[in-house]
Amino acid sequence: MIGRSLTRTDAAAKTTGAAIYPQDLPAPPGCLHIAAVRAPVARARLRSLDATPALAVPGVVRVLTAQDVRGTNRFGLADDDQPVLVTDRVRGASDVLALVVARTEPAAREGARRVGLDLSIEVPLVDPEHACDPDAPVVHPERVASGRHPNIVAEQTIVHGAVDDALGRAATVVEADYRTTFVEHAFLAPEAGVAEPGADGGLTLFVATQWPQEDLRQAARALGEPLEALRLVQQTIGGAFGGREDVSLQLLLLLAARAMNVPVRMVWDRAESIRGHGKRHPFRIRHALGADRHGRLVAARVDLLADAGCYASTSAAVLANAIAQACGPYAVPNVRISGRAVYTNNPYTCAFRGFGVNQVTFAMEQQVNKLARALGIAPEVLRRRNFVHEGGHLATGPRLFDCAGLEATLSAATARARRRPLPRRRGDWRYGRGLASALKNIGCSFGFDDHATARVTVTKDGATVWVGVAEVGQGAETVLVQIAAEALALAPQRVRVEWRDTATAPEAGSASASHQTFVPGNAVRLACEQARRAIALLGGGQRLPREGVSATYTFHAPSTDPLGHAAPTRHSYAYAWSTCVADVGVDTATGQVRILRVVNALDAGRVINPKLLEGQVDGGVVMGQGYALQERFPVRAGLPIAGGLAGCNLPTAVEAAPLIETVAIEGTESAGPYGARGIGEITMIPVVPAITAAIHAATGVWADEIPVLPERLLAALDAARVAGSPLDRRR
Amino acid sequence: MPDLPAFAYTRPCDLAAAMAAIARPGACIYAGGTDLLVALAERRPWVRFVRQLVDVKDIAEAKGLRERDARLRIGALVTADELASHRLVRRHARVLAEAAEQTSAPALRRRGTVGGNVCSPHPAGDITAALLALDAMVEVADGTATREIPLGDFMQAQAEQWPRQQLILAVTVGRCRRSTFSKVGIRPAFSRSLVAVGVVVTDDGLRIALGGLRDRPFVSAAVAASVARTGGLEAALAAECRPPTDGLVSDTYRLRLAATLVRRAVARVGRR
Amino acid sequence: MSRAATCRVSVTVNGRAHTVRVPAATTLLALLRAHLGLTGTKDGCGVGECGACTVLLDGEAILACLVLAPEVDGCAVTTIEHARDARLQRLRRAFADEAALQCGFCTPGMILAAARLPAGATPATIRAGLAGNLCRCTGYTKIVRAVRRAGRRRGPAR
Repeated sequence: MIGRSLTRTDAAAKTTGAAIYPQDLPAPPGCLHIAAVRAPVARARLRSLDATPALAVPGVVRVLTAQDVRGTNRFGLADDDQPVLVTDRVRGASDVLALVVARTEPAAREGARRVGLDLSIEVPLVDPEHACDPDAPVVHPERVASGRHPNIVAEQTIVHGAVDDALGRAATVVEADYRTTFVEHAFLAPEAGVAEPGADGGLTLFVATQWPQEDLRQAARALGEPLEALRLVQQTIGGAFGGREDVSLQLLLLLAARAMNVPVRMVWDRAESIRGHGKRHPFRIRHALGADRHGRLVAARVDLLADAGCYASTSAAVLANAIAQACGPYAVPNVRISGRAVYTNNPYTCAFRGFGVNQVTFAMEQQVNKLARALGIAPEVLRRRNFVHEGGHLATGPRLFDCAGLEATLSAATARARRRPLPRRRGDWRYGRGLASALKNIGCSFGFDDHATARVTVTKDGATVWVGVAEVGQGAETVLVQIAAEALALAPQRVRVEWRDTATAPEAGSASASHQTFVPGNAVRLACEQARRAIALLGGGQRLPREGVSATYTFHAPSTDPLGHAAPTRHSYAYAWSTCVADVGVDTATGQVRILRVVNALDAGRVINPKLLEGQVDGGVVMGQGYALQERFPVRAGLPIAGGLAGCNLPTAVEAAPLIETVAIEGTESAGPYGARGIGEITMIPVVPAITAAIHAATGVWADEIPVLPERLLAALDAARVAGSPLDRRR
Repeated sequence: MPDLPAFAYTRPCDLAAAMAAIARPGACIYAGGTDLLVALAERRPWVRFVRQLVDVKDIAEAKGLRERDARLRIGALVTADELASHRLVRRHARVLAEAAEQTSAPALRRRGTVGGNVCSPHPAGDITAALLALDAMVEVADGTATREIPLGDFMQAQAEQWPRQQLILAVTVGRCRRSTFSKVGIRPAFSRSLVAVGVVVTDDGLRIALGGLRDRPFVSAAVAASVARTGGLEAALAAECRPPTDGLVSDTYRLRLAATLVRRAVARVGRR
Repeated sequence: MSRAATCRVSVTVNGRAHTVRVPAATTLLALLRAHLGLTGTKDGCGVGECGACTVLLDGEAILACLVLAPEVDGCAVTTIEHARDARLQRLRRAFADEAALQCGFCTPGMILAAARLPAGATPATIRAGLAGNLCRCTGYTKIVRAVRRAGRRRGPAR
């Protein structure tokens, strides 16, 4: 079963309209509807609120406020810094001030529009560069600062060797500031859900989320509910990309269900969805990279500043990830990598496919490509010369093993790219090809106990596996069926994977960090192998008792060391590698860029389902393309300007790369199931710098800020023309 | 989805009934709905005055596309999709077909109407720009009478005051042998235009309409005249345009884009 | 609510006749999802910016969020739930075979939009025809392949 493109197990449900997403859930009998009251500003003190006008709306039965929250009224993935309902301080777009409960959805919304708010509006902090000024507005005055500026969420510096010295002696140094912006996940299904109180006093949530048990743990603390009485039943998940890892409406639903003691329903429209969940971290990256005259990297000095927005979410982990991979897959003997994530009153930033590695890879790969140009060395040669080799040290200290695949991806991508020539220049159009390589950690790093439990029961009718993964579209359910079928030597049609109900599916971690194939995948494989051994001991499948044979396995990924550990063995237990080659055309009269083709060679270990892997590459490439060239998320005074998807400017089928070539290299040994590792994020990561390198090849311009909007590129082209551009010598 | 505010709905079966219905307070003309329903869903401020939607899709006088007196009469209810594929439009008013096939997205083109586009308040109305380039006339039912006025005048009057009893029945355009349309949005498809250009070759020279460069599309004789003069185009555009502040691009870039689009459109139409 | 503000709508959906009384201010999308319980057509944005609510109205692919329920009185609507439409069946089969779906939320609208593309359409024509249907998961590559494949088949669906 491994290596087969088994048809997705959910294809039938999703192509017939049978799949139920949270918005499709009917309102149970007696159900009430809830709508959130949000502030018209990003920063204010809430002096009071007046529910009377809302209660006067026919159908409105109650208005819930912070006073109605029994627990801590605080939640978050790392710090409990986010209120379920605002007590006295509005900090950002996602804040909810009150919850209007009504008999119909329109009445709830109308009520929410009418709640009176007495706000003392304050000037929001919007520029992360000024977040640590002495007079900067403090976003969380209630947090104890412990000696450092209270707007700092996390900061860390890694030093090896003597970087200033080494840069001073380097033959060539390239130095630049790189900038990336907020991005909206834009999963197609806006948030929705139902919560129901049970006869036993418990509460059940019907939602779509990346980490069900974590949602419930946060609910227990924030709402003062006993954890064992909370249950979550996953509906079909309409995309996630990291945007459903943080709590969105789960606690609002549970709060209302408890307060009203009836089922409650909430549906977010697109505008509310955009306000209600986090965004990708904007980064400013100050980068100096030095090499000797042979092109060996000698030093890197990197300073990162990330906007954490109004709540911490996973910003500390994103920052750590960024620092750890700031020098990519290269051996750099002298480094100082420092980073800081700061609070602002901008939308909070959170997990988003890549988790900080996109941003630092853009900077590092661009720096390497600039160096190659300055030294007159081909980009692939420079990379070969500097990739960490087997047993070598990554810049932050740990040694790298099983990494032959990295160079293999470079060879494969360049070879495949060569098969197709670039078009010749035509009118104002210039064409160019660019290359970038990347690594991405698999799984949660830095000492986190990444684990999952799977339980299997095999009967004469087949096997059922319970494991609390989240099928967010990536194909986890299908891949786990294949793994279980392989381990049990059963036809896949006889294997079911049950993941939706926390009452029966044991915890498998978050659907993030590209880890679901590795960790829950291994738990499934090992549980199934255990069951198969037990069946063999009984004398074979014909001897199965009626209740079948069951096995449970908890798999813990290999341990990892925190960033900043003096002698780390490893920060992450596995990596995926990729090299991407992009061909672009640039209309030099308008600055518009078109993608012609992308080659993506990756080593993510053994490929379990080739078509699903290709699908992840295709999706990652287009998401990378959007990130590089067009996706916007303008924010003014801390609030999103775009109320909808049009403003986010996602790629359509017309401009999406028309040709995407995937080369999967199943290179190296891996402790993942059947040698598989993980692919969700690596597919996107080298795409941005490959595109910006291609733009440079076409025009001579380095775009150090993304998205490379046509206006910005045109301005850079103008500047280059004035300076005596090499444009006319380009093809 | 955002819920709609309450309103009543009526679908008059003839012009007289339609005129009576739209004369009532709170009446709102409903054709394709691609602008109106979005405005209602987003609860734009004027929405609270809407009492009844008057669905005009059965009004015979507003339907159809045919030749009349060597001109094309295009019913207000003709959709962008129909314009894009109609033999007569592709042959005799190519700028209009090109605008219709490049605007918006396929499903929206099947609903968006000529009348709706002409009345839309957006700075960049692709079909409107093409119609202006063609020097279109608008056939308007006004109370009990019908009159024909130049599209530009109609748009001017609309900007000043919208009389309640008015219904667009059709637009008429003359035939042209050479014309073209070009637009640039924030992405290559499914985007409002940042800049749209319609160019028509007439017996008296070029007629150029621009979208996205003022609060509504407009014709510029100065821009048309400047095309032949070196450096004149940029100056004419700078003088004629008052770019809307949508925060998407700077005025400088917008004007630059306009100059490029005009030059390319003129070159293309010269080759036909 | 005054009588004029509600409407009686008789509409055929997937070959089955329905008659409902709904407020005039009801979109076709809400009619399908909330009043007829046909939740296969999705609500991605409600304002015509994503294409997830694409259905066929008298054979034409339109956005259900931008059509009012009263105006579909006497019309025929096809949604993803239509079980006996040969074109939809071919597309379903092709989408499954090509793995042209991931989270699946855009899939109903995508299939309905593709159903009206000419058989034998080139990839460029397919992409232009699907320009109004956003997908965040697949990058569109396999969708285009699936639509090509469905367009090449002749005869009844297997």
